[in-house]
Amino acid sequence: MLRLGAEKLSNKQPPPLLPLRGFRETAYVQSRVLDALVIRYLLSRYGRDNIGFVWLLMQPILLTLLIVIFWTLSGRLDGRGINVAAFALSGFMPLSLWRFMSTGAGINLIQKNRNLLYHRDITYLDIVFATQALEFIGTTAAMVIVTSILIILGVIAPIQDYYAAIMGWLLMGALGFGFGCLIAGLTAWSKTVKEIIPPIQLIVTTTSGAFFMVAWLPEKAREVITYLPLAHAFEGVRAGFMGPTFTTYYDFAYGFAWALGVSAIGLWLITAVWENVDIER
Amino acid sequence: MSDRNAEQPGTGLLASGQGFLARLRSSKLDKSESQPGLSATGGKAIVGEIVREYGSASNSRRWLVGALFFAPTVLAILYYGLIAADRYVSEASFVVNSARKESIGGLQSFLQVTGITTSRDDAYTVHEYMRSRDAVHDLQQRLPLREIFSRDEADFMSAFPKFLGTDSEVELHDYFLERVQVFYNVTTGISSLRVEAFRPEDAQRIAEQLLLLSEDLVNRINHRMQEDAVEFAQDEVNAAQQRLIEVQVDIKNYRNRELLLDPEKASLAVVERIGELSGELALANTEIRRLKAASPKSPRIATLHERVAALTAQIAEERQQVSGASEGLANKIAEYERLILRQGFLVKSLEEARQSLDTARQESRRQMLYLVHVVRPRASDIPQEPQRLHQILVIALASLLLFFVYWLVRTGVREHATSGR
Repeated sequence: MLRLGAEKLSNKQPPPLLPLRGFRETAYVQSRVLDALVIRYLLSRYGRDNIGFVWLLMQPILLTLLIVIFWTLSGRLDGRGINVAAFALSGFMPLSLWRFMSTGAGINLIQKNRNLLYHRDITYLDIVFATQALEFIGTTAAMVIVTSILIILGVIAPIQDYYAAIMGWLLMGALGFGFGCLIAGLTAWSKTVKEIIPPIQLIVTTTSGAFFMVAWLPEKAREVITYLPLAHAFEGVRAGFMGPTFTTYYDFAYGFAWALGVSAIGLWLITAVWENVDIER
Repeated sequence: MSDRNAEQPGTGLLASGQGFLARLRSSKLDKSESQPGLSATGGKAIVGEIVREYGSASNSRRWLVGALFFAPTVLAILYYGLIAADRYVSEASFVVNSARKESIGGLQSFLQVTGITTSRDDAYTVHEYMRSRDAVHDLQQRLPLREIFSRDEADFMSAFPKFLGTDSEVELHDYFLERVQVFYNVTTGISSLRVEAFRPEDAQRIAEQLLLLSEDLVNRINHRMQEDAVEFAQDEVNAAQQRLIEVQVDIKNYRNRELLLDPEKASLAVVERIGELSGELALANTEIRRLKAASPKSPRIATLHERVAALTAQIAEERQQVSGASEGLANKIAEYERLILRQGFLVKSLEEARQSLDTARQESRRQMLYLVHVVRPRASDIPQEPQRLHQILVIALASLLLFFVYWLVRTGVREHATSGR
């Protein structure tokens, strides 16, 4: 193997001077960089012993299990009313995705990873994309696996509307990415931002539809809530899980417009502050 | 970025170890080739690693994996783009109401999972019927269901005897459930019926007939409910009447047997008679005393004494009649009174039974179910199903998400394998 490689190399000597890489080559390098960064982040995020990723699965399973036990003990899981397990899962998992991508990955993203730029093929955008991609993929994997298990076990009904569920999930990912970039830029720009994010996050997550359905709100509150982009993602996933029995309010175009706008601002902010960040260890 | 020196090794910041460095190095290969100034000795090892990692064997596996995750999308594009037949949707909505109406919705429905209102129960009754094989059977009496689901317009995947399926009642029912959906909106309390068919008028006809059949069902339920409740009360009334008649007959028999119309009155007459006789006896005794004092030798005294004896005997006889051991009136009165008392009770219970019959009639009228049409089914002029772009998008995105899962698990396992070495 080694010999073959050396032969290949020697065939190409002297190496041709290529001032610019072709597209194929660039794309290849780009994919290798992203691959490597995601794996680096995978190891630091979930640990080497693989239990980390399993924990990501255990959280929603545990939640659903507790809810099912509680409702079964109180004798109310009769399948005719709301499916509480589906309700909890369709609120908890998008909420996790949002938290992981926006604040989980976003806070101090630049300070933590600035050192990586010593490698010339890594750009700050690579780092941002790799980090966010891993958060998205990890949570998506957890969602897919947990949902499959629960559907096979018959705890929740099969997904009623795949389009709404997938689009809602992607919208949540897009919003998480956008706000993650924004938070990364802001936390790099000013240290005080980091301190005011938790209360804001608390308010945002409690008022955005993870724990209730927008249809339950009075008209006025519903109007206010649907201005927020997060509610559209939650409602979309919920529509996919709970079906047409429950009225849901979502507008994916509106949500994705938000995601696009916030992503643009966030990426611009990262570009603007990147060079002037002190490395924080 | 290119001004950064990529060859600065061991910065010590790459805490996550070998796998990352290896991957990163492999990505730098192209550059070390393009930049002649860089060391070629590192290059050899790197190339070896690349070949090892992305040799022809794993390359073909990559293709396989790629094909596996791309195939569904390609198939979806082919099917939805070229083959899939148009389906027309006809929608109707209805409410199952009873006169006592409770609506429950929103947060309440979440908190009161068990507190299902009756009108919702009734709606579920109708839904259950609409989804049943019974409904499919009844529909077939009115519509050529098999023909409708296997029109010429249909493609081989969506037509009724399904691809690789059989033409059986059970599969027709399964197919029917794919084309007909009924659901209940918790917020509004309105039930919706959605029928898909290959021709717009077919969908409309199925929806119409299903609604008519459901109306029949509701009427049957009403009839049954009314009959059950009212019939029971009517039985009660009949039984009470019967018993009353029996008592009446007993009283008549008693009277015939005892030759008495009313023993109470008869006994009163006897008592009166005793009173009269006692009065006469007293008069006679007084007369005797008076005569003994005035003219002791009067011949009337003897007659009076006879009279007193006769009266006393008569009184004794009459007394015997009232309270005699077996033939006495007192016994007869007791029996008579029992009969009268029973009659009184029965009259009362008949009244009560009549009242409960009235209430049952009213109640059943109040419990009547109504199937109210909110939206009548219409034929649509454009096909709404299948939503081709949506379906393709869903399948593509779902395969992508599944690929992510695959990638994550594969990478995790792989990293684990290298770290163990």
